[in-house]
Amino acid sequence: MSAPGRRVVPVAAALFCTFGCGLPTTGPVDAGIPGTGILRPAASGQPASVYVYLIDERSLIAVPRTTPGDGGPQQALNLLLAGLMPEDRRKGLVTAVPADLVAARVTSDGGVIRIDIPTAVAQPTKPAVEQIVCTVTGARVRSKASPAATSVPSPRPVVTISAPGWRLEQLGCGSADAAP
Amino acid sequence: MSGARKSPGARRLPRLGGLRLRLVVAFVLVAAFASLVTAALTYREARAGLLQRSQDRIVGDLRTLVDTTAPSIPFPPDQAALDATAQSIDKQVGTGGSIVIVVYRGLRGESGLRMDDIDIPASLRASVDNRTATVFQRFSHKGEVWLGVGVPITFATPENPSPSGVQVYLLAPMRAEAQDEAALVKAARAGAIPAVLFALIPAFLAAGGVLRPVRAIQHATRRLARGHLDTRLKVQGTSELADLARDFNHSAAALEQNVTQLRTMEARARGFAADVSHELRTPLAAMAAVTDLLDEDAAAGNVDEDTAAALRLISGETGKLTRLVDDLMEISRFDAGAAALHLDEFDMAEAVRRCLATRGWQDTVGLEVPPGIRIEADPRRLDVVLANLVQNALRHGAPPVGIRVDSEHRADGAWVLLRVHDRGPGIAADRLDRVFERFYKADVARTRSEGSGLGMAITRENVLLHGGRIHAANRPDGGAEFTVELPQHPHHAPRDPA
Repeated sequence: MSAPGRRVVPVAAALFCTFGCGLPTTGPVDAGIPGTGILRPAASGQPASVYVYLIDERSLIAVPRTTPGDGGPQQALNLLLAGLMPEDRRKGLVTAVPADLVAARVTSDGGVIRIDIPTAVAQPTKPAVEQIVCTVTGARVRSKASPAATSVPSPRPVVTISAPGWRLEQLGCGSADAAP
Repeated sequence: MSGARKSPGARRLPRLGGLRLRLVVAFVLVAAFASLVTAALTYREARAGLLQRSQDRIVGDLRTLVDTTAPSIPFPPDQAALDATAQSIDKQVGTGGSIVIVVYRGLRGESGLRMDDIDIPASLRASVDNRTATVFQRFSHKGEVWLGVGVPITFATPENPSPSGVQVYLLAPMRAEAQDEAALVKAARAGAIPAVLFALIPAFLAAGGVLRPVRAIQHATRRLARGHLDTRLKVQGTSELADLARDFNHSAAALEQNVTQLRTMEARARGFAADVSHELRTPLAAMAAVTDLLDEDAAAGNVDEDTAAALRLISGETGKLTRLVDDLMEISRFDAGAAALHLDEFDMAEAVRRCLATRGWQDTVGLEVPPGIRIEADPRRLDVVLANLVQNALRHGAPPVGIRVDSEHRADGAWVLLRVHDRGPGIAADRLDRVFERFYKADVARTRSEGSGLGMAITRENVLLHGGRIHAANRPDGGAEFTVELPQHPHHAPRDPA
């Protein structure tokens, strides 16, 4: 008696997939605004842009700053040490970098950036170290596009911070540092 | 009647094109369509939601990653920077089997190992190039559906976010989504098929509800056709089928009334004929006695010639009237079902010879009667049959008249065949079946025959009483032939007295 039923079931199943089973492919579909964050290199005579890394609740966030100089690691570090701007405070950003590092000197040697602090200061906290490392390496990576530094082989330089009494080596920015 | 009935086995099977099958199929088709559409719509919605969620998550994750990674991309980027960016993003995407490609003008950096020759779809690339917007596209590659997401990166100048030319692409196989989709199809089918099967139950119930009264009407009609005129249907509800049942009852009642009326009238007419003939018998017997006396007087020459002629006429007509009344009474007995068979076994040849000899026809009729054919029959009635047929042949046909007797073995037993033929003009083809009717004159020119007009009818009744058959035919070489088929051993009570 289920003869008609038996006939209908495969037909229904077959019909079902005439609507198109599986995942349908599409053409290109808009999905919102583009990403952003690349800094345009300054034209000659114009102020350069650099990122300083501040703390937004728990994570680091890059905040663009302009500087009349070349936008190298030393200037980036100076901008970071200069502290928060009013708009940073408005956004609720904080910095863990103590202001007593102002005398720090930055030098680059191949893939290594050295930060020397001549005065005796306390060792900065871990978030502060991350802020410093990311700011200088970011500036270093960007400025390496300048002709003088094209021979730098490593895209991810490491940072050494030394002060009288303590020294931190092989520091890197971002997740590469977080692993060990 | 019984021939018109179908065998019960044929009725039990669902007939192709039958009402039940059609109702069930219609029901199932409607159910199938409804559940199919429901399942398909549900499936599509669920699939759209599934894809939407998954795409939104991947696109959102990638955009966040691009936004956090972009500040560390130098500009213009070199090959090493592109590779490093691609690896950094890929590490954080966390989608199995996905590939991150970062392009800048002619350069491209890729993450990880490429097991496949998969590449960014040209249309996706063109769209990202032209629109400067995050774009995704689902595309097919080697039988798998992949999701391609392209995120162009703009410069971080809030007042003028112009495109940097750096684009991040993520190509991810949608394996998990394909599995979820397959599960959806399975679920949709698993829902739809039982729904269709469940539809069979109301389908059969509805078909039964319609078919029960139809079948009742069918049975009642057949009962009616078998002669049960008191058949009536139970009228239930107010449906069209109830109307039909009511109409059937009206028709059956009208039919019953008419048939009863006709039967009453027929019985009355027959009774009247029987009564009349019975009433005529006594005066006729008296008249016959008187005419016999007068005949003797006329024969003795005691009256003058004219009176003698008149007396002979009266005598002859009285004799005919007596025969007519006798025949009428005989046929009335048949009609009343009062005719009885007194069976005896005897030799056919002997019976034929005796019949002819009694009536003085032994020299006028040719015989083809082999000896030794025995029959069990009522000798008086067989004698009447034979005499009537021979008399009919002598009267309406032309000599030579012949009688032939044969015996035959058939599937239903042994039969004796009695044929009486003549050399006359034969019988018109359209009258062959009517010669056995009462008072039927095969010869229309002769309005007044010597017989009562009941001879052939009585013959037929006698043959039927034996369970036999009689029919008239024309011989190919001219002349009529009457054939009587009698069972050698008639079953008792072979005729329905009704």
